[in-house]
Amino acid sequence: MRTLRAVWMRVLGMFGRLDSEFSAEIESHVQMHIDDNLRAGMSREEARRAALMKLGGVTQVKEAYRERRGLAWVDHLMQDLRYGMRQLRRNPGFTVVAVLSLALGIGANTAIFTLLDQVLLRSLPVKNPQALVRIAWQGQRSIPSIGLGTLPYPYYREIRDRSGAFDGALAQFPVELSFAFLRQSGGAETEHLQGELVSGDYFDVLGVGAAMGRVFNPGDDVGEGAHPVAVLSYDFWVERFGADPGVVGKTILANNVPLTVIGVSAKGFEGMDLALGTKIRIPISMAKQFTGFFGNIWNLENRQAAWVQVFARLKEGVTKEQARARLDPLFRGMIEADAAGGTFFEGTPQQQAYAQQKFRATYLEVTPGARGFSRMRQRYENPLRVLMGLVALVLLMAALNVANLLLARGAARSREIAVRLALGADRGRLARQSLAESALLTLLGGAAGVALAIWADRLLIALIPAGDDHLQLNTSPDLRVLAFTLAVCAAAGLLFGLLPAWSAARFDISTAVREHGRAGAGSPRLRRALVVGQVFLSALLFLAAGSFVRSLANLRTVDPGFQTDRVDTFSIAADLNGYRKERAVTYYRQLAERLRAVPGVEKVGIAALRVVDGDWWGQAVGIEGYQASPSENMTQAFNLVSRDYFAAMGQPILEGRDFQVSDAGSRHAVAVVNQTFAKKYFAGRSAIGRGMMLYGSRMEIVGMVKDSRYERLRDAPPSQVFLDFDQNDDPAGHFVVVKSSAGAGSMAGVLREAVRSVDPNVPVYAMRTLEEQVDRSIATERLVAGLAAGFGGVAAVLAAVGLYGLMAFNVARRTTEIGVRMALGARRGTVSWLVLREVVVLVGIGAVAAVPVGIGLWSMVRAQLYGVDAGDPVMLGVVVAGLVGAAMVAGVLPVRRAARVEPMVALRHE
Amino acid sequence: MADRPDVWQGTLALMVLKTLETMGAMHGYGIARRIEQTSGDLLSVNYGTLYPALLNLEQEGYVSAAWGVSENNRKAKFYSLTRAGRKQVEKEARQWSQTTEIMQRFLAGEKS
Repeated sequence: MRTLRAVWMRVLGMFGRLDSEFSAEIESHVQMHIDDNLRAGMSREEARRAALMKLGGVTQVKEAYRERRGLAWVDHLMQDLRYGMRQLRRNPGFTVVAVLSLALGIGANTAIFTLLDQVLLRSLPVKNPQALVRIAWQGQRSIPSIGLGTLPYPYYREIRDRSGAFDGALAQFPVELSFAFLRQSGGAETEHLQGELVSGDYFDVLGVGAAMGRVFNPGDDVGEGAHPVAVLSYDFWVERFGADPGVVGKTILANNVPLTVIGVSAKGFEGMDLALGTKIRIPISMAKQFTGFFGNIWNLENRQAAWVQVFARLKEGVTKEQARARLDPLFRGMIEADAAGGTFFEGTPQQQAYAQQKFRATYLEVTPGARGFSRMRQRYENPLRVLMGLVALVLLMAALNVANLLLARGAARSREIAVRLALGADRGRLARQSLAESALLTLLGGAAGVALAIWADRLLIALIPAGDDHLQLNTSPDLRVLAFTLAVCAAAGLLFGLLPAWSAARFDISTAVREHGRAGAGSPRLRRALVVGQVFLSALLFLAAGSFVRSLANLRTVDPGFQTDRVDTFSIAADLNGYRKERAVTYYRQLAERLRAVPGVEKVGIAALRVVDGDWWGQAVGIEGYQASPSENMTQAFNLVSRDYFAAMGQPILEGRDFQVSDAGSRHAVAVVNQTFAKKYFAGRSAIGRGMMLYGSRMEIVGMVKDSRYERLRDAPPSQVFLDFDQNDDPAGHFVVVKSSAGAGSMAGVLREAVRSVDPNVPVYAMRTLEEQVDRSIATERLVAGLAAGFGGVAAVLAAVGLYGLMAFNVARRTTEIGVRMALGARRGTVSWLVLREVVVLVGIGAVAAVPVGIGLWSMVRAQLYGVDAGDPVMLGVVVAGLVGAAMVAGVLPVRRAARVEPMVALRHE
Repeated sequence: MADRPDVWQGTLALMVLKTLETMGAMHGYGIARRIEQTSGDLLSVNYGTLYPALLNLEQEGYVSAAWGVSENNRKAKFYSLTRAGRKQVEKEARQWSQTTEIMQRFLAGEKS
């Protein structure tokens, strides 16, 4: 207790009137002593002298008192920090360079971590997210399935009610909505936005409440179609309704279905998939009203279609493994029953038997659900990890650079340090001062870095095509991110601060004095090692830059299989506006006619799926005349396209014909396949006239088109089947392609007008040229390549600075030696080589060391690359050019300075 | 400061406390003079140690300090014993006599 109290008093003591009170006390002390001395008969002079002598050194007394008064180490720390500030202010050039390179390193790390954290690491803002699990159906499900790991709705119901492992389970399914509301200015406006069908206990299970009104309860889920209600997301409520509390009870129109708004969900809650940006939630009992195309899949009683994503909350004390074990018998029962009665498999009896066997082998997977589940995560996970790795290298570079600068400055200050040591300065204190200076630099760099990160994140998010992903990312760093930044700062600060501190502590006075303060702190060997480290790191960064830039260049030259010039595209979703069956067919026919009538338009095509947009529609088919092995995956990549679609896309029909007007009314089903399909199943013979089985009905192949890229630009074309748009009685046209004589992009306004003239309520979205569409599909690759190249450039600059510093220092140190050599007849070339040799050796060591490490790291990012091999000439070229460039820039000045040394001047200098 | 010998500081603190117990409130100069006189001028109090020691005692709560006026009308800081200080004098005095007793016995035994 006493000790604690004393420490506390000492802490307080640091803030008091430090010296003045004690001075007064000493003053009175001396006066009293003088008084006594006078009384003892001394003269005034003598009395004063004796008193002061007895007191001893006033300064020493004060010093001892001061030490006792405050906490000495804090006092010293403050002194060191002040000293550090003075040093930084005295060398503004050094400070700016050091802070800038740190800001760059720390900023880049903070920026990437901010994104990484939100995409990959962060838990959802729900009650006890750790107890949430995702229940996914894995294996070859062999029934129509939409989404990864989804389940049939009846399966969800049984898991929820009968497993006994969970405190509730929720089901959800994302839907696109055509949403209409009345503007205050009058008139309705329609827009296309993201909605979600959710089970009645969705909010209960997540523990998310309402900001306004109420959220759903299990009662909202009873009776199909009986609950036309909606809960708005908080952001949507603020954005579209101006946070109007009167919205509760109002009716909105989604897909032409009137819904009553019953509430607004809690602020900050975005759902289980942040990438979707869900605005409106609707009870899943309304599924029939909000799902079109393949209507029967979304039947709540259908056990033969998987479509709901399921999350559950573990009962307290139940682990994921226990939950899985408890689910298993229940799941086995369902699977056995459905496999036995299953009539849903395509193909020959052997194929059916195989599918059944696969179906029985499926299983349920229970994984942590705290972070939700998102396709975005899969898409951005690897690029983000790669970027995080790159920025870590950049930070390391920056730290080495600052260490190098500090050592160089230590060398320049070695005379001052020698004097201070000679006067009795404490070595530990010198090291601490050096650390304090590093800490200041880190703080400055960190602060600048955070500012830089906010800006960089805005830029990054703007560069990611947000159109379809609605990335709900926050750019302002929160406490988590700041904690990360602080940790990064501390790591960097220790890294570059310890070296100079250590070298200050083992500073050798005698050498410093002997060598006129030119050696000492910052031994050349240490600095050389640092420079080799910088070269090593920059070689790695060059390697990354070379790989990603090359990969992007390769992607750019990929032939997509269609012609992008003079083609506009946009999306519409008439089926969401209540168009069904015949009405939809009529609508799309009218739309195509209207668009064809627009002056300048040459060809108009409509398709269900947008190209190279990450969409995939797979179905297994049986092919006449092809004997598939039972285990063969007969899934084809599908699209539903209209007549003229191939013409509009500039995709040549190599054999046979396009769909025709006469096909529309015909009962004779037709299909078009691509080259890969024909090659794979008909081995070079014609595909035309062959038959194909889909859902138990036969269709005839009438045409074969050139291969084109389907899901992503980087994937080789799959075997593809195109169905006739006009033959489908419930078409969902989403993707409209217009080839015109005018330049792409200039038609946007006219096309919008044409769509409006058919039905003003059908919203047009994702209007872009086909070229932009292709470009967007490689946006992530472009971003990574751009950043990698940028980091490579930074690495080059930092390496050059490091090399230059060392060279300049060496030339200065060896001026005399050079002078002597020249006086003895060495030629300027020889002298230049003397200096240059070191650059070459250091760069060589760094580069050679980087090769094995680079190859190791390179194989980790291989999956991210397209068409780049280990020995890729462009990639290696970038590395070599980067290193040589940095060395040249760094070496040229010092070498010239060395070559210009005048022997006489150099010797006189001594 | 930590590497100054404990014995000296400990003894000084006890002397200061005892002085204050006997004499009541006193200023630093007075305490120094009193200790020197009591020791028969065998001891010379180093002020560089005295004031930090006083501060230490104040921080530990054994003495309290207040500005006052001395017998010669000089403004001076007066130190006086707190209740905790009184207890501390007793305790330390007891410990000290015990220590000296042990030392004496030890030295006497050594002689014979």
